[in-house]
Amino acid sequence: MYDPEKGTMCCPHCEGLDSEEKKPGGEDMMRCANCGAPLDEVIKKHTSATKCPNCGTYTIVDERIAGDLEPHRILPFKVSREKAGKLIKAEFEKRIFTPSSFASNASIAKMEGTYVPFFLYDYHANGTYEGKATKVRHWRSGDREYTETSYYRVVRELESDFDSVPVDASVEMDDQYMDLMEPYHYEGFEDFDPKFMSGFLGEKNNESEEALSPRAFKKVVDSVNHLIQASVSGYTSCTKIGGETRAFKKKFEYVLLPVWEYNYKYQGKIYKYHVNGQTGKVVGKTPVAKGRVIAFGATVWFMVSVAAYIATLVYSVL
Amino acid sequence: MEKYFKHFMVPFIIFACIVVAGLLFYFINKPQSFDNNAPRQNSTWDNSNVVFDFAGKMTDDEIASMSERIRRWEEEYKVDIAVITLDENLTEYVDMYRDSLDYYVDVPHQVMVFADNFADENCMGYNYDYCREHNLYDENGKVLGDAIVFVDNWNREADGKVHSWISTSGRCVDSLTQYECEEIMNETLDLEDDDDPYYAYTNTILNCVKAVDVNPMSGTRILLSVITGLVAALIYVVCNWRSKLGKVDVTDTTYMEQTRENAFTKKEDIFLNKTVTSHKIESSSGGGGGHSSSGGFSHGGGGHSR
Repeated sequence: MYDPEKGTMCCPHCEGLDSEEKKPGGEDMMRCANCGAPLDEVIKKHTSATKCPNCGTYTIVDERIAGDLEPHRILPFKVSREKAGKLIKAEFEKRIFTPSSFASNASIAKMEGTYVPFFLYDYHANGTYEGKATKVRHWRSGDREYTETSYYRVVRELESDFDSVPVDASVEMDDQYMDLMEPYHYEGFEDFDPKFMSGFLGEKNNESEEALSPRAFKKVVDSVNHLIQASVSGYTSCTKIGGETRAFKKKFEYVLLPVWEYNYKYQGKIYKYHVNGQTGKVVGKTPVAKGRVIAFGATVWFMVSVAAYIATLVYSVL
Repeated sequence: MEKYFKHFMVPFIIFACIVVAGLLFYFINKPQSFDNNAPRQNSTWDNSNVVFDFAGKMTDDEIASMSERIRRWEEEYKVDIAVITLDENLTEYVDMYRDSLDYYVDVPHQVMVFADNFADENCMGYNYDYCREHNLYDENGKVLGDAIVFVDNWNREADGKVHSWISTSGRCVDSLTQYECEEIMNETLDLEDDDDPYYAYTNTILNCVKAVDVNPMSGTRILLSVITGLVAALIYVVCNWRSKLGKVDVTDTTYMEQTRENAFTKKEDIFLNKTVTSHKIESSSGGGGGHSSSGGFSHGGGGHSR
């Protein structure tokens, strides 16, 4: 198995380093190479690496990381399961209304690391903007109030390249969560090698790069528009009268990015938590325990009410 | 539970300090203020007569009944009360005091001058002696106890109206605002000539004394404290709810090759023209709140015209 902290292959039983990269699985990839249990229930349409539900051995589906499906590069895990668990617990400490069973040691142990398929797009973008702006100034003199309005023509032109704009190619992963996991530090990329997937789950791209490029295009165009808008400052008002933003795709790259997934079931609903496997950034919405809200809220209510009442008593004798 | 105590440890300590310090301060200073259970302390104003029906609008039985009720309310609410009916033009009366008043008195406020002077000149105030002994002064440096004087002048003035006034002093100034006085009289004093003044006046005084706060454990204070606590608890819960998934760490320039400044190939802000307009500032007027009587005493209250 690949050890994120040691950065090399490590046997989980004897702790030997650079041990056998991959156990020969034979011809039948739908059976576990270790115990022979069927894997057809866990190998879904886009699964490229999975875990045997019987013995816990990880299996890589070779044909889903080969040929056209072979990723160009991979960003190996830097954050271990233990560290990811600690990061989630640290985040949970700040969220006082979260149920106490959240992020328990037992549930953290079930957390899985997944290589999520991403496309990285390079774009060239240019944006033009023309607007009519006003600056308004007021002053008084005697019994009259004066208003001075100055009119300006505002012109902006921006041209830039955008490199490696990421878009996740997994239907199962929520786009909102994946966008919040950003940014990844691309200097950590390695040429793709299946050994990095050992000990983790994985997916191949669920959708084509053509189908996903509109999301990258929108990210680029939004950035250009925001930058232009931010540069128009110091005015009382500004009305757009012309201009447009264009973006052209230059190239793309298919990569795998590391994500730790933690699922917590509370009152019949599953809450998903994700940890960036490289930077350790935590993303997720925690459930709210109503009992805690009532207990904590009532405590604040009681303390402030009593303090306010004492304040009125003190005021009455001042 | 551990998380609960860990979270509230510092607030609990601060809370305990506030409670101890506040209560100590209150009980150390409390003897200097009037004891709400103390009997009436006024040796100057004889409250055996509290209803002065100079306009002759009530029967003797009604006056006796009203006086009895008023005396009972005086004990219950710890406030001196007087009810006066008039039927005379007060212009000459007010002229006598005009020099000592620092504001213009129009017709509707002539009855206010009469009511204020009645309280001042008779040294009214449930705790008048106590205030004098303990040097408790109003904002004008005058000793004045807690009192309510209601005057209803039946004389129809040049403006075609009959004017009434409730004058308050002492703690009644704060607990019975001008707005409350006017609201009370709007409800109770829409009298026609053949209506029952006894019933109207009794209701007026009853509503006034109910509005006067006598007990530190009063409903108003408790309600105010509870509402403050609820607002604070609501803000606390909202601030800690944390419904956000996570923080956005990507900026508009994260994936840009050029820097923000280098990316702009053109930035022009061209001045076109300028316009200047002006308008006359309308002056506004305001008013309301407490006032001082011709004797310099602080009074509150409100009026009514019908």
